[in-house]
Amino acid sequence: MNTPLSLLFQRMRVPLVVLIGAYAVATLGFTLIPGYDDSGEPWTMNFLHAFYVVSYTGSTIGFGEIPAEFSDGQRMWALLCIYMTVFAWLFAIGSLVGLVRDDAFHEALGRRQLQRTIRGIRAPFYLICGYGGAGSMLVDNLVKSSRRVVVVDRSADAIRDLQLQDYNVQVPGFRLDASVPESLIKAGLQNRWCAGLLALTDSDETNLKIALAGRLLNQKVSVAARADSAATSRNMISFETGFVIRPAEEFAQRATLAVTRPQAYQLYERLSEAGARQKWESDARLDGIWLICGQDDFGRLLAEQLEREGVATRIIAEDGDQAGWPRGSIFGPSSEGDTLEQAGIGEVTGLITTHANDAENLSTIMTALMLNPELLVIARENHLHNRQLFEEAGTHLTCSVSGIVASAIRPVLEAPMVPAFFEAMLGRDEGWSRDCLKRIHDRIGEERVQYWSSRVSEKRTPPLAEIIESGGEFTVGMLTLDPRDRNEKLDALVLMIGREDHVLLLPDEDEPLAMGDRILFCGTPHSAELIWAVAVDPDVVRYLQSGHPRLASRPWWWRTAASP
Amino acid sequence: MNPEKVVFAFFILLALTLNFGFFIGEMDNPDHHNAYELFAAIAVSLIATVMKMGERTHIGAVLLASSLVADLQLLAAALVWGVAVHVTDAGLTPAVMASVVSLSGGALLANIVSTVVVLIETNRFRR
Repeated sequence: MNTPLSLLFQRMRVPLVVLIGAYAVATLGFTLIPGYDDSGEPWTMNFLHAFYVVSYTGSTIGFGEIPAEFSDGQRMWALLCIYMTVFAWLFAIGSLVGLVRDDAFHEALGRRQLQRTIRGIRAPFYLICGYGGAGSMLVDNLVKSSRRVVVVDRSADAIRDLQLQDYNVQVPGFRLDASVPESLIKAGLQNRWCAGLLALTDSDETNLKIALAGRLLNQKVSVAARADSAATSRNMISFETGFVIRPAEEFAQRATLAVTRPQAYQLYERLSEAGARQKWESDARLDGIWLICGQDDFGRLLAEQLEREGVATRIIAEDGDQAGWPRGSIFGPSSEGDTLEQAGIGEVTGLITTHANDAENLSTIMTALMLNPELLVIARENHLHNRQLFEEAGTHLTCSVSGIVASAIRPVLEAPMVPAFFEAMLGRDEGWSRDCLKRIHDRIGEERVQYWSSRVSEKRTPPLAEIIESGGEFTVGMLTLDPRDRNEKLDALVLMIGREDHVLLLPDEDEPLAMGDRILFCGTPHSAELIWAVAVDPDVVRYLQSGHPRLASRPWWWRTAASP
Repeated sequence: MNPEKVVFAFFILLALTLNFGFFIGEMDNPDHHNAYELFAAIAVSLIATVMKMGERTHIGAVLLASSLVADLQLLAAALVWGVAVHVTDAGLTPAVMASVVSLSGGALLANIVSTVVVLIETNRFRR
């Protein structure tokens, strides 16, 4: 790639040579052509005068005939000079203006500036490839939790969208093809502050290339990628991509939870914040047959998972034969009443539409609700801007693909322990989920949550380690007390403690901490900042533990006087 | 044969030869150093500088630097000449002439360097 300066000089080479040439010829001419003074004696200009005349003529200032009245020969030459130099100037200025309006020059200038911005980022940043639905949600989320983000997308429209967003920090957006490794390097993949690489484009092949490039070009970054097909997903896991999200699997898992374990689903939705709340009554009857409409993996995986959980399902596929589909499947367009009647729309509990096309999902929902107004409806939403239509159509649970991708990736970026927590959480029963939900509600309310993790060790949390090593006791509950006033509690909760080879899920308040504990918190961003004080300030730790005031915040000559 | 390369080498060599033509002769004798030759040397040197702009190789940078040095020296020589003759009434004394010629001698050195660099690069390409 050319730098803007070299591009400028390359384009300006000819105009500048023309300009210098014109001036040289004009000046030379004036020194050669004789003029005649009053007495008829010939004289010629020296270089100083000649250059002076050419300069004020060329720049169209025109002082007149200096130093003396010109002869006819000199006037003819002056005439020539005027047209020559003015043309040369117009040519030079025209080229310059053309260059400034040139797209390639703009591109070079813009990239240069963006790269300077990236070099100026002195905090960990995430490199997001693909600014579609999931990409834009993640950027929004990360920027609002004051993290730095760099975006790469192939489409100029997407980058323009990004630039029009009103964020309080600059989010550099590159219009580059992310499947080319060089683009990723330009966007800062090998920068020492690059903390994560996210492959969120709509093409599996591109995502695979990005994940590979991330693994090979910078071993330190954590890579998270989206994979639509099972093969790509397996492929990515095979070379140890940090986190692979397959929308069809996530959708199947969510819908299954919603149908079989409402409390667990509520908890999962509360913690992942995908914007997909269920809107049926808590005592709604969920047993019975569920009708699944869809042709691709979303419907297939969901049907398999529901059957495994013991829920009866029936599939309406667009086309195909009995061989590839479970027994009892119906074939035909699901948006037509006949097909739905054939599938027994009157006797089923609910309908799940999983088409890749939102119009088809919507028309299926509307037809089905006309035939059976009692239906519970779960829908796959492919484009974020259709949300309102789904709401109006009477959907009870709208699961947006972008939303589930973004909400699955965000917690992992914040704390790598989160997937382990979710796994353990989903292994518990409904009663536990209800308790957990209640505790989160009591402590945090309905605020947006953030995850972070820490570790009890001499390196990470020296004051905590000191207390525990000297035989003192510091409990889980003390961690989330307000360091400014011990009687207040912060909007934060310890979700899990990893201790040696087992985990404590949602530990009790009076559980003592031990050396080497890995703690997973969730809470508001504000409480996250306050809890950091616990990690570093011995006085805060002593205050939280014993309730003694924070003496060390006073100077030493006060301290002796204040202590008994 | 690449016409662009011909023009490039032509201007660099012409800058050197004109510079040399002005420089040669008795140092403080105004009769041996023609003003037109100095003028031509300056014009060609400026054009050579523009031709070298925009090269992003390391050798391109050295070429551009040597050309800028030559420009600076030649313009300084012209300035000394002009000031001595027109601004002060010192005129073209042997002392003034000597300093003009020595300045152009510095430019000559810079031009030789850039010609040598061009020759080296040409040689390198042939291998």
